[in-house]
Amino acid sequence: MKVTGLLTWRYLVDYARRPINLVLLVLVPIIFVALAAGAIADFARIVGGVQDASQLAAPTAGWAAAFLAGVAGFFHILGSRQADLRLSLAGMGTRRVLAGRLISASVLAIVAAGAAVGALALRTGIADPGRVIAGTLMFALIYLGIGAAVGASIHNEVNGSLTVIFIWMVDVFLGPAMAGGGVWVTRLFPTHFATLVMLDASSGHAGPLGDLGWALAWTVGSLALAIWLYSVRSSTRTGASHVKSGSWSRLSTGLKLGFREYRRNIAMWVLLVVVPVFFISLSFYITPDEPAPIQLADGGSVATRIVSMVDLHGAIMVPITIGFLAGLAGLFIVPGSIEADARLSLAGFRTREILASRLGVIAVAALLTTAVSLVVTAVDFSPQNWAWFAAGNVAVAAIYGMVGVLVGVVFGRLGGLYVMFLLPFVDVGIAQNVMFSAAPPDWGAFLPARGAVKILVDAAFTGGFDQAGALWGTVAWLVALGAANAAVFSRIAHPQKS
Amino acid sequence: MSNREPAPRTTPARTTSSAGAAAVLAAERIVKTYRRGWRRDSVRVLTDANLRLAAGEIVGLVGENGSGKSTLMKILVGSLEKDSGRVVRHGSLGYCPQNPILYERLTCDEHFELFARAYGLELAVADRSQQDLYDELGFDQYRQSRVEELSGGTRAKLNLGLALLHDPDLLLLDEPYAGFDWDTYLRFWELTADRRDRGRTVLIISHFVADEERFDRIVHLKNGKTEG
Repeated sequence: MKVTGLLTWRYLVDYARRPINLVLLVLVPIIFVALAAGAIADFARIVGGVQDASQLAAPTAGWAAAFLAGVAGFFHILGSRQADLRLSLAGMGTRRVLAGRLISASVLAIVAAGAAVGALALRTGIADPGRVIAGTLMFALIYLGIGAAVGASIHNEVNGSLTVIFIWMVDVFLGPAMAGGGVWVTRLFPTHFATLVMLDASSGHAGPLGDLGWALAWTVGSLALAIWLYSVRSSTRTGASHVKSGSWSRLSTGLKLGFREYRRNIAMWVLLVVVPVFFISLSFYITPDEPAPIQLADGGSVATRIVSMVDLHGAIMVPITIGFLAGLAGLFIVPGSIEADARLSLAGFRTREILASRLGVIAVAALLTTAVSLVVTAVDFSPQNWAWFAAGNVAVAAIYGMVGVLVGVVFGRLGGLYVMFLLPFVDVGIAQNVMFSAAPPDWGAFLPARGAVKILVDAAFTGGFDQAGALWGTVAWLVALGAANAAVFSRIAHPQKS
Repeated sequence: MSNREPAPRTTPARTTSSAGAAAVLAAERIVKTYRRGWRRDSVRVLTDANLRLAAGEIVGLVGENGSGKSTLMKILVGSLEKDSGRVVRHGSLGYCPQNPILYERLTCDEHFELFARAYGLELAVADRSQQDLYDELGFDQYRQSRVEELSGGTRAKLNLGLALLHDPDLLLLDEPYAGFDWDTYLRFWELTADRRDRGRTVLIISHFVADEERFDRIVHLKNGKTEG
């Protein structure tokens, strides 16, 4: 028991020493609960979710706890598998190692749930503490299991992180708090029933097990799956008796090989196909066809018009999807190869050639992302002005492609992955989202996608172009981000200070 | 394991400085301090490092772990800023970093293509040199393999090959043979000796006592200062 306690403590210390874990522990509750709870509650009420606004904020605590616990569960298993195996072989034994992992992971889930509930209490207060605490804990444990199961199955930390994030995004964006839960496919999502329990709303489709029964089944089931996968992997390995151990030509070559390296990233292709289909198509499919007010500029005057909520939700999901995908493209293309680029620079490539090659690849990636998203959109929705709708989305792609580069350089590839998930979510998904009210919130004017989203929303519902101010704002952001990217690349040609 | 013996040196080992010969590289009074952690604690790595390399010699740079060998080499290459001191280099440079710095999803052939452009090599010259390196280091069968699919040893071969591709006047190699098998290790020394005989200069960071007799001269790095 003493040994298991020591193991548990060491595992928790190991978690705490990864800076990104601590940053997420603070940032995620702030963003999902303190910052977004009100806006998300409005959004869900408008889109057709549960009607009681005071209850609607409660699942945000669950979302935050689920995200934190999913990430914690993933890294808890992934980063330590080899070391755990070694420890097990050294005499610690698989059962004790497994127990240590289970206890420490459960402590992490409780910490995640505590942080999320605390943020909710500060932000909106808690009407039914027992229900909220129990619900949040279920969210955390379900995602702890999912994260750990992914960690036991996928060896690459970036691909595994993407998988956890993707499951979470689909679950939250298309779950009952956001979309009412009326469509059968959403009943298969991990926290569908846990959300209904938190909202104190009966699904009417839970059968004899009831909503709470299904929520508990998901909790126990996901943890059991994780334990099974972890044990299978460990026992397979421990079963063995031993462990086995010219400027234009440079530019064109740089561009050609840069794009070749990009297109060989299978994760990017999977995302490029799966994310637009899931996010854009499903948002058209699950949104109830209700009237929605929106402020539009047309013929020099601004007026509030009523459009279909289906079209509005679909139109706004396009730049959210594009921002996320383009940001990941920027993140994957540059920071992962910055050391090799520096070596290339020492070998003779000029900074401007490397910059042009890399930005060229990002441009291709941004255009590709936009094209796929627009094709998926065209199946369900036809904007009034296709050209400006596409231009606004290309601008979002270019902006977040370059933001992805900067974030990657500052936070690294893995830390940047989580930041690049949060930034488009806060900017395009909340600060520019016209579904909250007829016009986006004022504080969103300071974020990069303001102008581009105004242009594309205007183009979605009017035939003319009346967003010259937004266009200039977008151009200013593009120039500023281009300059920042150029500064990053110029640094690689100079000796590092440390 | 091979029974082949290491290639004999064509010139006797020298322990004296080659200060009198024409210098391909001269570094004087190099000082470097790292600042680490939230409190920016100072870690003084180099206090007075001096080095002079002449044409046609193989010099070993040795020292304990953490003595600053890689730091000094990065400063000589120009990838790390020094606090003070002076570095003067003549001729073309090939650098092999300690950990292979490569593009994960590009193949060996594509790496050579990219670096050939960077060095400004003509296509025919680059092709010939590339093939020689594949043959000499024995990884021709991996030319179409992506780096992410390569073993640690093959990555090390590619890492070294990129530094040798343009047959530079000065080679700075930071533990280039970590991960090599015995045959490749011996071939590496043959290849190095061949370059030295053609007037090239090679500086190698090494930990192996057994390597010492392969160097023409050894420079020790101790307490931030060079000796020898």
